[in-house]
Amino acid sequence: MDKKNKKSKLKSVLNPLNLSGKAFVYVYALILIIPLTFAIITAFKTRAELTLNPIGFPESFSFDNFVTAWIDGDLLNATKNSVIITGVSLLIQTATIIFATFHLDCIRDTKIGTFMYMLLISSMFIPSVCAVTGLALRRRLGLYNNLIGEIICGSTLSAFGVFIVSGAVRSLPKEMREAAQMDGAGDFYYMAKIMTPLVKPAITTVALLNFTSKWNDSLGAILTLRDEKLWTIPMSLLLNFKGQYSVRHEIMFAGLIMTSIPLIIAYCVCQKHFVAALTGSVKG
Amino acid sequence: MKAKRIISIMMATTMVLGLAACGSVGTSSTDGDKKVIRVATWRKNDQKYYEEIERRFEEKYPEYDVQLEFNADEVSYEQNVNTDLVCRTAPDVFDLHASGQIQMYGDEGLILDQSDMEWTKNINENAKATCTWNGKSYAFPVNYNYFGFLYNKEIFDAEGLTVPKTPEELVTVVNKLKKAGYSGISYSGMTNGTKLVDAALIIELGTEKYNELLQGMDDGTVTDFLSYEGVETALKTVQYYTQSDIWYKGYKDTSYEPSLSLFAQKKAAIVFCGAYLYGEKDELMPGIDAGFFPIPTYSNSGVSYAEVGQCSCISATSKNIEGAKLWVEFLATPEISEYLCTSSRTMSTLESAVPTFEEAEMLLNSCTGYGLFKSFYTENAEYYDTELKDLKEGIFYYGDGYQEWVDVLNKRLKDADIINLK
Amino acid sequence: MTQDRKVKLKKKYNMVWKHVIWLLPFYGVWFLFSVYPQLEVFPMSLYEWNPVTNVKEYVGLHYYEMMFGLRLDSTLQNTWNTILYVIYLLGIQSILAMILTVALRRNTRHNRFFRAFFFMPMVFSGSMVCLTWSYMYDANLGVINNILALFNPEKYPGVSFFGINAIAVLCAVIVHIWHNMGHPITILTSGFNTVEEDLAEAAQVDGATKWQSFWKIEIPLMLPTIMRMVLLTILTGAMASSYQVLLGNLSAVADYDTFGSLLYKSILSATDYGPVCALSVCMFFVVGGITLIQFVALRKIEDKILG
Repeated sequence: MDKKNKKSKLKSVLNPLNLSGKAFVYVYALILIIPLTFAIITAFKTRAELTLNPIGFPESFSFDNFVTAWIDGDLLNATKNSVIITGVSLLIQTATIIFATFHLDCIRDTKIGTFMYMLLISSMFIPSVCAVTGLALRRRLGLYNNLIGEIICGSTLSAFGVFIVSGAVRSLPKEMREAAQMDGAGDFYYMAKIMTPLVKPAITTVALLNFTSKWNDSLGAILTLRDEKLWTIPMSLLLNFKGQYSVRHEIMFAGLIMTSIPLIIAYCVCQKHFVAALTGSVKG
Repeated sequence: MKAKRIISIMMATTMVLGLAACGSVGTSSTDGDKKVIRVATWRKNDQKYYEEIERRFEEKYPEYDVQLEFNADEVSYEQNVNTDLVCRTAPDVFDLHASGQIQMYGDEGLILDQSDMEWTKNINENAKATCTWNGKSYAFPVNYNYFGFLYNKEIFDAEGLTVPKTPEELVTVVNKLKKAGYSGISYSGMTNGTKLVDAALIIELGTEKYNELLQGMDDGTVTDFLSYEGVETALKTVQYYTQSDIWYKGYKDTSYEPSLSLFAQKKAAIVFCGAYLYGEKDELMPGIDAGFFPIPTYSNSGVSYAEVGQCSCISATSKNIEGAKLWVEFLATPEISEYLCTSSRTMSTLESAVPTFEEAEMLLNSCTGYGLFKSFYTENAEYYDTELKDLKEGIFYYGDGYQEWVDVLNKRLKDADIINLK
Repeated sequence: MTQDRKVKLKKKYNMVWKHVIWLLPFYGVWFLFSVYPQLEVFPMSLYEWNPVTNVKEYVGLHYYEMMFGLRLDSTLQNTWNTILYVIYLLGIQSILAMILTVALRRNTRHNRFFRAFFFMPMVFSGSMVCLTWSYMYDANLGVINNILALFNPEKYPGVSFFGINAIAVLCAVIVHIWHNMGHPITILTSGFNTVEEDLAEAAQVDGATKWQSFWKIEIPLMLPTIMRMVLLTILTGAMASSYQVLLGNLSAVADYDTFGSLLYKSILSATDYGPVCALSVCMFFVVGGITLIQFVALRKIEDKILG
């Protein structure tokens, strides 16, 4: 019995389909790792080594480039900006989403409630082409080229966030709200102390998604942050290491590695949450 | 209770961080007792030299405090200047490329007309003309650079080659180099792609006639690209070069770095670029002794193509116009101009200033004169700019016959009938 | 009775309006920053809009005429690039994601590790990913070129990947897939997990091979998920801009631009916002149209399967 199982198991493992599937996986893993490896290798090279020996190993593993990257790229300042922009707008946006979802849910049976909800949700499916006019608007309002502008525009109501959290809130039994009302709980109390803990997974998902997209946003920030002192981390990496005629690759990669390490650590720690957040709801 | 505490902590943090964000990057026109002059440029490579100039300026005018801003990325620098002018928060003095943008800003009244400043009397007429439109000088051109071929002297000596003076000689030289295992002439497609065509046109026509031609196309008065003498020889030169296969293949969309690194790695013996690279030669091409020769054309004039480097403009909405003018005038004194140009290895636009860097004499001796590129604001460019670009690309990248492209352009100009528009 | 009812109704309305009033500020801000600019694009495409002086001059349909008349070649070129982008993305990403998902289907430790590993690049910023890859693609210092040169050292000229349009678009798509592979794999994996395994096993007991049960039973049941993923991919591909812009040049419009990247570069380097708005409007209708068609198609297929 055992032998037969083993034989069939072996057969299934050596099944050509299985093998080719595995081959794809390993080849893709290789493709994944090669650019990262080269980034790491290059970060340890000196400029001369870079031009004369692009793909070999560096001669010595000195951390000079890392120090230069930190100073030249003004990474401390960039981290501060990233933290402020992402942190504050995340807080405000999460609070906004909870608030809005709660109120929308309260009136969900009424006509006006459904209308407002549909209005918000349908905006998810309309392609967003408002980059130009949005930029001009921000300039007019004075929300251009300062952190306040970034924060305010980053904390507007996110249709996707409302969608996800709404889904969770709607699954809560209606009786709970009525029971809380009878017990004398006010709106705010109910929202903060009863509803929020119950929909925490959805809120975490949305918060993590917004965090990642805000932290990693580079193209949007290029349009709206002009002052060097206001640059975020991705912008710093992209724009600070360009000389007029050349890009200082070795220093740029050193900076890249330094700023990626916290992200990788965060990913390894809460991997499940990241996956849930970045792929959104499958039902959506 | 716990939730309340968490919420209040969160709100407190938010407020603190928000207040921190409020501390924006505003600058006032006075900083203590000193008046502030904000100077912005993209020339981060020259930071040390500008700081030295700042030191000398503050020594001479102690009541002023100069704040230098560098933004190495030209794209974001120019975009920033653009939006600053919109928001009226532009630096007092800022550098721009000598392009039609300056004319546009000047005509809109966003930058000062500098025609009455001292430097206009000391400056080389050609250089002044690059920043003057309709009689008004909107910017001070700080320096200019020759643009042509940098060659590796060592390789030339080893192969027994001399500096080519005619197109045929250049092709012979490149063929010999190729036989010896070196590649074709390297160039940066993204930044200098069709510059060779412009350069040849300016060398053959002279700056004035070239600008007349461009202005004519934009006005609608010129409908035949070949109607100016010299255009045909210029286009023939470029076509001859490309058809003789002297260029390094496949560099149409690459930036500076790969072209220079080919030169640095001694895979290419000649590179088409500006002489301003001497300023960074230790970093970009270490250990290479590079010479320079201008682009040979059929007229054999020996003239070199040159471009103005940075042009200093004064913002019209500046709160410290006096200070800004003083700074620009200071830059335009022969002593400072010599210092800046010698350090950054560029040529000075002032008549009396002679930079003394290593290659200066070699550059001056390499050509019989120079023609500067000047551009202006083309209102109707949208009607013909694609055809013009196709013409340049067709001749330079693909070596096509220039006549067919000229015919396309001429047809477009006639059809657009710009002179009767509106 | 009626008095009581009236009071109750009044209370209900008060409550409803209370909530609506609480919502108004949020909706107001959302409207200001998300809806109003979107609406403003349409009328603005009829004006010549100088970004520096903010002066607007009415020009009517001039920019549309330019786009579809005079400059039809470049419009077609951009359209073709966009179509290429979508085709590459759809083809390569879907098939690769499918293969990898099926290969990593069982929930072993080995598979979970690989799934997590393939997901990791999504955590990085687009700019970081593009910096790394642009170094790989670099015409002279680039890793790919240097590796190829190892095989043919003497005559290898160094391929400029962005010289030929089709290859340039392919390069951007490769980076896109590298960055986002986690997304389709996760969606497909959870899709597969929901497909009832008993059905597959039952089929196998009845004599179907693994291959047959895969193609005839699981794939059809997965069809809604797959269709949704296809829709998402097409939409993402049509509006994608980050990878081409970051790999190439931030503001110089190149031959290999798709609509998304052309739009972004135009905003950065525009001397006139009018044509940019016109381009936005065209993109809106094209992408909106695609979304609508696919929505309808998705509903029909779902009804067919579940019906």
